[in-house]
Amino acid sequence: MEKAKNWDEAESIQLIREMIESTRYQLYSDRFLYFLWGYATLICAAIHYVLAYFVGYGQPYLVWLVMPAVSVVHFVYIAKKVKKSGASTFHGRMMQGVWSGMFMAVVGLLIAATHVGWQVVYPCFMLFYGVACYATGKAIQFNPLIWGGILGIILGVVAFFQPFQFQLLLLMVVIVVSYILPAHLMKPVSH
Amino acid sequence: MFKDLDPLLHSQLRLAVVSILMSVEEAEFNFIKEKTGATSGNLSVQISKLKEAGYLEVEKSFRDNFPLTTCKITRKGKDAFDNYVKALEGYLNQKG
Repeated sequence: MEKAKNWDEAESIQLIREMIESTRYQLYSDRFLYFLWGYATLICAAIHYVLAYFVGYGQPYLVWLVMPAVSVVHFVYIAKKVKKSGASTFHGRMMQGVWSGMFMAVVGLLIAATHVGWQVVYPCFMLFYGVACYATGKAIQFNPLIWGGILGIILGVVAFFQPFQFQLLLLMVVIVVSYILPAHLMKPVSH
Repeated sequence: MFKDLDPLLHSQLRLAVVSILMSVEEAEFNFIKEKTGATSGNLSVQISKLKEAGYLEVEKSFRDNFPLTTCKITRKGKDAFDNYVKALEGYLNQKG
């Protein structure tokens, strides 16, 4: 683009397309976060389940204390990404809004947990994950996230009617379908 | 009738800069440089021309003690881009 040359109208349109395409939000660039939260939650839920219903350990929920550390990794990753990105976009702001909103709702629910009871909390988590994934999938038109989100919402509703033991199992399914599977299906888009 | 192509936008690098800024809310100088493949000097000159024409807003600040230049397209710039694209489409439609 440095040397002046004869160029025509078709080349102008092509250049415009290329530049706009080069700034498009790439879901693939956030794949790490879906893996991070997906596998962290899945592993914690699995360990909780095994400790509670196979080992008979009295405080199996302590495994979830690792989640603040996962949050730290998340925020460090995001801070580095924002610093490196060089541009702010509508998509970026929207993603930030959806997921930070979900994060605040999760924290609020954790605070309220002792009052409403853990039987209610896990299905609500599933609804939150489902809504966030669905909203993201709809915004960027990525079907695995849309369907994963819908399934997460449905299973979240089902979980309200299940004993805690099955809620944990449903949580694992929700995480797989709404986070982990879509993350594996994300592909980089070449320009 | 063919509409005249805006001479300010009928330049590869300036058109690339404006196209990028049409798709983002604002962009740093290095981001634009990376996407366009331009040299710092040439890009700086072209951004100045677009700023003088009122197509861009340029904000200079610091981050970690390094100068940071951030560009954003103006309403006038967006209108100019839209008119340019319509004029291009007119040319292309006539050519078939």
